[in-house]
Amino acid sequence: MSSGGYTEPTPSADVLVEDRSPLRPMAVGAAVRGRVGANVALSVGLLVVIALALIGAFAGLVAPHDPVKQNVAEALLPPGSASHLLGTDQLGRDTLSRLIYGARNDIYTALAALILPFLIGTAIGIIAAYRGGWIDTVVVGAIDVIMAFPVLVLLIALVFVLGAGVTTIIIAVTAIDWVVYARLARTSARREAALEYVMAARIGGVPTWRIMLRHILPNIITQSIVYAMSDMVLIIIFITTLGYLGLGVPPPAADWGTMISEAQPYFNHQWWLAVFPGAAIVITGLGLSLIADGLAQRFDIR
Amino acid sequence: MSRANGVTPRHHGALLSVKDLGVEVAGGLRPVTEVSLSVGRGEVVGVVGESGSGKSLTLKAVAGLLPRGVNVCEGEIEVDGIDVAKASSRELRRLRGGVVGMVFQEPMTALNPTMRIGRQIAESVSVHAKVSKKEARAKAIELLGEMGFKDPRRSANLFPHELSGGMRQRVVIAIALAGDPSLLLCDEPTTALDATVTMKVLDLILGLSAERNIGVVLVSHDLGVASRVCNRLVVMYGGRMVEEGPADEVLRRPRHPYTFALLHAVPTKDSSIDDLRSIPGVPPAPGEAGAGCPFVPRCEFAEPACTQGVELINLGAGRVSACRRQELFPDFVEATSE
Amino acid sequence: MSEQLLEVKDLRVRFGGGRDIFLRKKEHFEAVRGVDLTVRRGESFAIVGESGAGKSTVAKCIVGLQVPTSGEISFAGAPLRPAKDSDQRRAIQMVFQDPYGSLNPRMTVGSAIGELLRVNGMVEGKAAARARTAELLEMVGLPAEAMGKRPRAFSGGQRQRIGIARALAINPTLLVADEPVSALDVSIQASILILLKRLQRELGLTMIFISHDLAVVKQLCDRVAVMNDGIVVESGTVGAVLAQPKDAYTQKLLEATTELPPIEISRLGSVAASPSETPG
Repeated sequence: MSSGGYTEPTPSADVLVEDRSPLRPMAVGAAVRGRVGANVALSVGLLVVIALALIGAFAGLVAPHDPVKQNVAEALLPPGSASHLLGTDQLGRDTLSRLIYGARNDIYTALAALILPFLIGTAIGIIAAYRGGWIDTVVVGAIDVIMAFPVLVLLIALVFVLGAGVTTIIIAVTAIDWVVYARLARTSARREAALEYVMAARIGGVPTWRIMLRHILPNIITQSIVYAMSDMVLIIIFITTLGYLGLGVPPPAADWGTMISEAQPYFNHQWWLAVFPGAAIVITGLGLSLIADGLAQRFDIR
Repeated sequence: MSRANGVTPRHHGALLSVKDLGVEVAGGLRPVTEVSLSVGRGEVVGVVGESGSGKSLTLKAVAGLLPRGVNVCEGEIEVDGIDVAKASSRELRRLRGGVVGMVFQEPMTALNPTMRIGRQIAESVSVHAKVSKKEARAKAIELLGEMGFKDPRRSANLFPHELSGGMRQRVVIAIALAGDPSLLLCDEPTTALDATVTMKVLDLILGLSAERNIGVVLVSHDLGVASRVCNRLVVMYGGRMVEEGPADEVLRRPRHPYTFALLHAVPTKDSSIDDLRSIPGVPPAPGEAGAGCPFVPRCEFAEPACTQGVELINLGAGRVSACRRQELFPDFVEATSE
Repeated sequence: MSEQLLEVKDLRVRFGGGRDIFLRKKEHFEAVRGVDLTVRRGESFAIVGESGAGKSTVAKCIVGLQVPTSGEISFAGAPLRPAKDSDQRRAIQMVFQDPYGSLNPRMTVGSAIGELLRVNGMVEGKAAARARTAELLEMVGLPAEAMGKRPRAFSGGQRQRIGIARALAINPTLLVADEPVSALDVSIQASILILLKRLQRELGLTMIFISHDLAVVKQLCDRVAVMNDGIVVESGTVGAVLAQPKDAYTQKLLEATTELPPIEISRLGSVAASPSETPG
């Protein structure tokens, strides 16, 4: 029902609750709680990711076998075999156990690689936005330069140069990924800094560091957190890609990407060797994306 | 510019006739209850109220532009004899723009920023009349002239961002008039404009109403604005009508405690701080008010009976009040001309 | 009582300008083009104008949020340098227009005010901070429990009161109110205006009131400066300017000011009324 030529004005004060009686808990809060309960995406996503994380954390207890122990006599068993629920690979290693240890390696490495760019990038973004001037110009320039490169290529090149390994992965991701958080934080911080409560804090004599930390940061962090969930998917894909290329976590440690790469020659007959790790990556990615969606919906209401 | 103090008999061949309108939001809340008003040709009717009063939603209901999840749940809206609720979408399309023109608060979002204004107006003309492109363009230029643009031919080639707020709003009005409507619905048309520009736009609207003999519904929270252009006022509070009557009457001799309190709370050119009296409390959130009079929590004259229900009392000569305690008001002889 | 508290001389503020990296001249905008003002201690001074007149920019210069391009501002006889002189900065505080942007949505009222008290060394210890906060809230007509709530629990008018309490927390001498009632419902505006008037009297504040509405200014202020396009076009006492505006722009502004027919009822419910009342 649109009237040709006019943009329908967004529902404003007439429909949304604006003024409230003194000190009464607001009706919108109840609506939010209702939303989270009904927020299937968030619940399912959290369920999946937390389950995987726990499995990875307690890998030692959960995995039926040692993931690196080779047993050539039992090589290439199909799923459903005795004591090997998901079969074995060409060296007789239990697929299920390798998946579980792979979860630990991949998810936790990804988490470790996520935290530094998140913290550093957000901090740089806020400082650049609030201080402005040449700091801002330099930061924006750096962001633009790094973003001009194809990310995956850059990352792989870095890992190649620095040598495979978990530390390298973390360094590489940190060096490149901070820009996204910086840009996100900068945009949000600029908007926030123009708001009157920040001006009030400035006039009131609150020191700059405190304004950035206690006023601006808490009000912009939710967007970054939502983004971080999606970012983690990308990082996991990056790690498993490295594994696939042989540049990841060094063998014989279990890694989903390495598992896929090793499974390639056997794909025609022992399909499970490639499919299971692939499915694991997809499920983890979906779980994280669902969390991101759920959070985005939830945080929409302030 | 003087306002005629005419009173149109209600529901009598009126251009717009709204009877007992109720609007409901998903979840059962009713931001608008039992609202009636009518507008005839050449009349400017003001709907005044604060936030949460339901005035904007009422207008949107008349225009058929209620947002998703918000519906008319009772009452009738008749435009030029056509029942809007029961009309087919084809009839509605004919109505919109053709019989009813709309002007909203934010001129910048009502205009397409990438299209020159002449073309936007011409488009609106073409939608509502079978004319050639040339004729549409000529009409657009004519309208721009009517709106006070000094060089309409040249102005038609401007983009919205090249105009000031007041001029943009005039373009919006021109678009609204392109279909030669008989009814103009305005939702806070001057709120986003400066005071001096507001005057000009209001004068324009008043002039249009007289020259083109169209009916105007003007929704505003600003009593000053309403007082300048309106023949009649409908005062709304908490989703209900609290009072209706000739503008001058309502402003000089209110017949509802809310109107009375509001008039004493508005700073005017002539009042001083000692005259100002604030109204304790806050207006109810949309749909929050229950069965009784929504003003009860803030009314110093509220009685238990006031919470039971609201009845519109006809005071004669086009005056209506929702206050059952009419004994509060000094009894003046009803003036029919001023 | 007529000591000059604030003096503004030939204030100019230009945005943009300068040259870009290729040495081309960048566009500039002159928001304030030579403004002179004096504000006396204890008085209520209004700066009136429409949007774009530059009045908010002048206010920001006075409060220290904006650095003037040129011109002088002196406060209590000394040049105004709030960035360097923290006593000066503390003495001038501001109340903002938008009740929904002027409070940190993630901070409780108590923390926000408490932070200001602590940072400026106004109180020692949590208990003292809470006591002082309760005092401030009471001054603006809010209950002490409001301390523990976040801004979203409050209506627009209440948020403005909190904003006023915050501005008063560090005992300013000069309060700059930038359109403090423009974003509020009409029935609430009056209560804030009455509050400001009372506070000014009780605390002996000097007030600079920025507004686009001459009617509002009339309620509260002693003297007024009318700004248009970056300069002051007329100034004087409120009574004189409103009664006999000399400048054409002031006249236009006055014409556009809210004017209502005089209301003929002063009180409801009294039995004694006009002679035409019919008995029984």
